[in-house]
Amino acid sequence: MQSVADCAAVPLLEQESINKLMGLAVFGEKVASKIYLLMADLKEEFAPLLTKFARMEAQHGGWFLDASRKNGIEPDKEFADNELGYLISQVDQHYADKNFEALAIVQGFIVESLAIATYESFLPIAHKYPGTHEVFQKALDEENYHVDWILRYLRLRFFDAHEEFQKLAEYANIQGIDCIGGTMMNIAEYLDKIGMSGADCAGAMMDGYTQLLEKVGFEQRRATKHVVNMFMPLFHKYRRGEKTK
Amino acid sequence: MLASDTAQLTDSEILLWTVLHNFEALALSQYEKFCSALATPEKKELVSLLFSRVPDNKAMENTSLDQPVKALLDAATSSSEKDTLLIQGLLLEVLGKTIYDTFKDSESFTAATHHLCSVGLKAQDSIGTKITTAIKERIGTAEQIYSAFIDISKPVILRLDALGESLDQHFSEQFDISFSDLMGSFVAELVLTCTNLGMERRKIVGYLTSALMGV
Ligand SMILES: [Fe+2]
Ligand SMILES: [Fe+2]
Repeated sequence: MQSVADCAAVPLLEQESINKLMGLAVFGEKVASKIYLLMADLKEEFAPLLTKFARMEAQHGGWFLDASRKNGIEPDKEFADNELGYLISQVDQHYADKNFEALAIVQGFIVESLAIATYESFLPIAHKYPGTHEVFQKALDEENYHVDWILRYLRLRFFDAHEEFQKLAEYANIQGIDCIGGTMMNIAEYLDKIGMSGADCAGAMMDGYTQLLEKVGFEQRRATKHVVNMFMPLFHKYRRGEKTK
Repeated sequence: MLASDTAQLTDSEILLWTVLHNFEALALSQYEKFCSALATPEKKELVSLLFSRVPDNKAMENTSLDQPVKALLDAATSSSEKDTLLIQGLLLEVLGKTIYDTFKDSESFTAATHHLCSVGLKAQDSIGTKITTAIKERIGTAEQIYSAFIDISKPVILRLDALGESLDQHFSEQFDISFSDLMGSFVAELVLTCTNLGMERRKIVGYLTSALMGV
């Protein structure tokens, strides 16, 4: 039989934080799934693979929802919807423009970078929520698998066309980072409250994303400047305690 | 003497160079105190040129720049060779280089500012490699440099970023330059300088992120 001490309630703030974070993970995975489906719709030759990616993302959402239930976590849909609305409207615009490459950058680089940075940082504290380590590790491996394909696709697509890629990335990034980097700032305090570090996650996301840009043809200095410049206004807002969107 | 030596600075440029003069003068006095090899003739020439152009702080007094400039000067005043190498030598020299590099080609400035920038870059050039060598010699391995750097640099980075925001209020429209963007270039340059010193990029980016987020 459990003692009263064993059942001690999780402090409210931590509970609220994990509810919000899991909300973003569960519903963010659904959005990721939707984006891969839109991409599949735009490029028939990659449709089977991208549809498979979409299924994998949907499955991640399912795993996270099950793990949440087992830990008394209520994924906060309202919070997630609020964070994801801006992303969805951008994605819809890129789809309407039939801009497959912009979708590839937003999903494959920006959204995946956020997921990878946060899932990686979650693993060391996952033991606090039994059953989560396994599913986050599996999801992380699969996110890296998705990024691997996106990277290969963009490298080939823009082989010998680095300038074109840089223009496209700069266009897709300005909104993309404002949106996803903004979400990173908005969740930083919740990450801190469950024992992770919001700043470390943001740093990992920035660095991971910069490296992806370099691999497709940005020169190191330009990639670093480009990414840092996009994050600076977000840092300023964070310091002033303002929400980023 | 070149024509640009005597060209007039505009009022806004006088304010800008008053700020920069304060930092260059502090750098030189710190170098003279703690690492004389860095007090090169070029650095001295820069400071004396700035002194001849903006001899006092009048332009800055009673402006909203006064307080953040003093706060940063205060945070950047070190009391040891090691701290001077990291704060002045590493951090603020990278900042100076970023500023001079950005201003020297901008058409928003007069020839007088372009000239001061070129003298600033020459001074920076004269100590660039000396700083790297001195940091490695005096502080040690990349890991030791990283630990020492994160130990002391956070308040300076924060105040620097706060000053950037004030500078924007004063200058961004006039000079068509955003100091927040300039901070971005500076941070990017700093990351590259730190990785050249052997520091791990992921760690330095993580550290700078937390410093800029103010946590
Ligand atoms: Fe996923
Ligand atoms: Fe993924």
